[in-house]
Amino acid sequence: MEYNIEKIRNIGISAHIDSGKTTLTERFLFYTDRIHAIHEVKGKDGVGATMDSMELEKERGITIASAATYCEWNDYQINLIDTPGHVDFTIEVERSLRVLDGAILILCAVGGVQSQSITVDRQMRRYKVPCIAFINKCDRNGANPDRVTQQLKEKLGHNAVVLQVPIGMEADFKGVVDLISMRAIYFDGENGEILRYEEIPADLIDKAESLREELIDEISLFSDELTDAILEESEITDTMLISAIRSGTLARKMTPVFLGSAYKNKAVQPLLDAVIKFLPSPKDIENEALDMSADEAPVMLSHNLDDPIVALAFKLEDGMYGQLTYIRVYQGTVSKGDTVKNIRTGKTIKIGRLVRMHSNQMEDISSIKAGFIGALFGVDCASGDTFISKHLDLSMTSMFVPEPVISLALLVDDNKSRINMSKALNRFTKEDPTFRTFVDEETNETIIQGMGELHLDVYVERMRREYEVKVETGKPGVAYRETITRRAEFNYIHKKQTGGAGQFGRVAGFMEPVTDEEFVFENKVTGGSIPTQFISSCEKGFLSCMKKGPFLEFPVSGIKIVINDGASHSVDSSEMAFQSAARGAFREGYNRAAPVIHEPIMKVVVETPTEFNGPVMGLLNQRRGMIVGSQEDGVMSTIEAQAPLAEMFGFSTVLRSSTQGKAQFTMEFFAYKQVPKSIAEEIQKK
Amino acid sequence: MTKYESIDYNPLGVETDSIINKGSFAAVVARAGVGKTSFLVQVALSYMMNRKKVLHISLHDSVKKISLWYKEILKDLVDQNIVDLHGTPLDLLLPYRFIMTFKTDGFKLPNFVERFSDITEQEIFLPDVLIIDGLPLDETTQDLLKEIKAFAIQKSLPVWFSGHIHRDEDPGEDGTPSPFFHVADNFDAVIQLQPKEKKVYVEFIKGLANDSTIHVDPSSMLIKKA
Repeated sequence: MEYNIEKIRNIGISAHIDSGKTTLTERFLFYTDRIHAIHEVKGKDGVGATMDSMELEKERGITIASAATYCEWNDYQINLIDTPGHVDFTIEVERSLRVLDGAILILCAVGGVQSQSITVDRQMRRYKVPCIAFINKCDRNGANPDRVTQQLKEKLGHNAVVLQVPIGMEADFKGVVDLISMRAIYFDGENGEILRYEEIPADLIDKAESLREELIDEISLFSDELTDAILEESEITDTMLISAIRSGTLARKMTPVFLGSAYKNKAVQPLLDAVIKFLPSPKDIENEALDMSADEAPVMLSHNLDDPIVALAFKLEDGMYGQLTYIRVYQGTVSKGDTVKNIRTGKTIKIGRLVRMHSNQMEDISSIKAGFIGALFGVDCASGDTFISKHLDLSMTSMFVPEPVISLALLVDDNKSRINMSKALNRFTKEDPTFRTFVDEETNETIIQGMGELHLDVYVERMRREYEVKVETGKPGVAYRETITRRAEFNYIHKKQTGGAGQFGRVAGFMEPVTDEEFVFENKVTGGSIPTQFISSCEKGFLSCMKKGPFLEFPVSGIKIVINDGASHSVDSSEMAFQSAARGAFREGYNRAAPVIHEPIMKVVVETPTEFNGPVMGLLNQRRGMIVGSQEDGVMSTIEAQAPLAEMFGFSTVLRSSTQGKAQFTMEFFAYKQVPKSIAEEIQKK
Repeated sequence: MTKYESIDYNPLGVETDSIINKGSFAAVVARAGVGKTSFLVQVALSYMMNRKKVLHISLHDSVKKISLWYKEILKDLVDQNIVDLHGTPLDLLLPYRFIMTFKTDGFKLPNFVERFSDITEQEIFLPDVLIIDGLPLDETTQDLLKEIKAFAIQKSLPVWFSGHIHRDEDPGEDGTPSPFFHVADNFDAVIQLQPKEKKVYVEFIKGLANDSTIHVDPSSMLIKKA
């Protein structure tokens, strides 16, 4: 197909788990002739949906890795990214949103806007991704698209504008009325592939006309031509409406709302049309890179194919033939045989095989042009790396990477597993910046760290299945921290004169808590009581104590050290002596400075049917959760709380059993806060 | 550190706690956009600083938005030296507040009582005062107010409301603004926020003697004296 940047769409499908995004993607691929049979997410045929390529995803019916796929619709080239909906995998979602130009926000016609939809929406907002909404599952019992549209306005603050009216609802859902063309559309054939256009059913004419009026009124803000046509009472054409909706959507000032049922093959094709009509092409989006040679000054990127290459590696996957690196090309053309530079490592790479992905199947291509998403083979890099032409010095903006809050010890017995585990961990840490690993020097255990229980669970499962690692896990550990709560003086002499050269150093000063910084060191020594050449040794000595606090051996943060006096010996003082003196001074001051433990507090949002409000609050309360508030919205209630991570292990199971599986929750890191005294004592005992 | 000493903050010149008794109603009435919610938040904060637990019920805003009101107002109070927290971290005030939101048309006393029991029976939160923001105070809520009154008396809770008034409607016979005069009998204290020129005046229509020095600073929405 001929390259035309205006006919490219890089689209993400973002939604809450189980709202049907994988099913919708599957239908997209079917209608665009990329696949020839439809498989369900948890289908009876055992094949599983095409986009859920990871075995684990198929089994759990959830999407973990964001597989990218390509399809064509009405002469337009669409790159689809299937994104995970669970908050624990948000780095995946965020990475996808970084490279996407537009998104479809799927909402469930029954469940409506749920807590995870809110998280996903917040991420879209952060990356300013224009979106259209699709209210799925209109065939289900209890489907109420009007309520969902209202929630889209109230809960997510979108200017949601309805573009379709459902014909029938729940089991009677037959099709939709398109408010632009004012026609009814029905979906015939075995898989809804035959579109039948009819007159609007008589009982829906009034509703459709009044909603069309509302639509025109709403979108007239985005088009002078339309406003003029309204004022002059001249004909309002479909083109005018489409152009106004597109302007409003691209400016993120409105969200067009579509509806249907992907599972029942209804109203998927109009959504594909909407992707083309209302979501941006790469040309509509301004992308910036940072000029590393000019103090990271932003540089606007062109979309020219002949300009130097700027591309971002946004996802890595370990395939059968080695590492597969998904890239988005922002500027220039990446072709086979080209040489590009990885700005992070400075290494040059020769581009070998280039492919376009269709979930887990590949299609070889000769180049990836500006605006396109594709994949490279056999390139060693990490996720988030920027590839550029050799003479450039640009990096794409770095992505926000949160610190991990939970850790887990991995225990393996046999050597084969140990080797495979090492391979797997190496892969995972490259793929996912929020997943970290290290070996605990004391216990010699391999520790993995991540953003939540499920996050780590999935990696452990992947190790077992994909890498055949026989691994057991220890109890999850919380990343506690220590800090001090008051100012304390120190004055420590380090003196050693037994055997060999003597050691002498005295360090005096004070330490005090600071809120915004991890560690501050200030030298106020006057008169050379500590010779200048030993000041940096003192800093090193203090800094070395930060890794493991003297109180309970957790990392120390929020501390300011000021040294203002000391003493040295002409022969016995050395760098080592002052480092030891500083360590002694730290211990001395620290114990006087009322050290305390801080623990990660999570923001927990539970969405539950109102009748379970009480039990859910009880559960949170038992877990030292502080309930901030509850929001009642018809039959559902949302409870917001702040709870310590240490108490939240296994919460999903308890929540499910207490609410007949009807409640769900999201959890994300909120802040570090002081552990209550009684709990601190328990931690101390352990 | 899980407790803090009481902090002296009584923006209305008298102890906020003494303005109405348990089981009584107070209302803050004003036209739209004058600052009823921020006024109520300051009333709530004065209770919280005196270690009284406030159940804040909103019928139009989300939990997030109300939390933000509290955060911003408290920050302004500290920044402008109106309140001295004596080093108390702001977080320690949070256990003294619980936010509940309902849709206006969905606010029915039985629903509220059920939610109230959810938090009180498990001793998750035992409020000392209720703030109800966004309930229309007019002829449509006369019966509901009577029900709330009975509940407040039964639970020994003072209740603060906000009420929307219209300047283009005739006031009641005694000059009480419309439509509030329809339900004014239920209230023991009524404060009207009156924007005049560049200030918003705080006028006690009922319950307390007027202190002409108390006003709301329209730039920060803070209640100030003189």
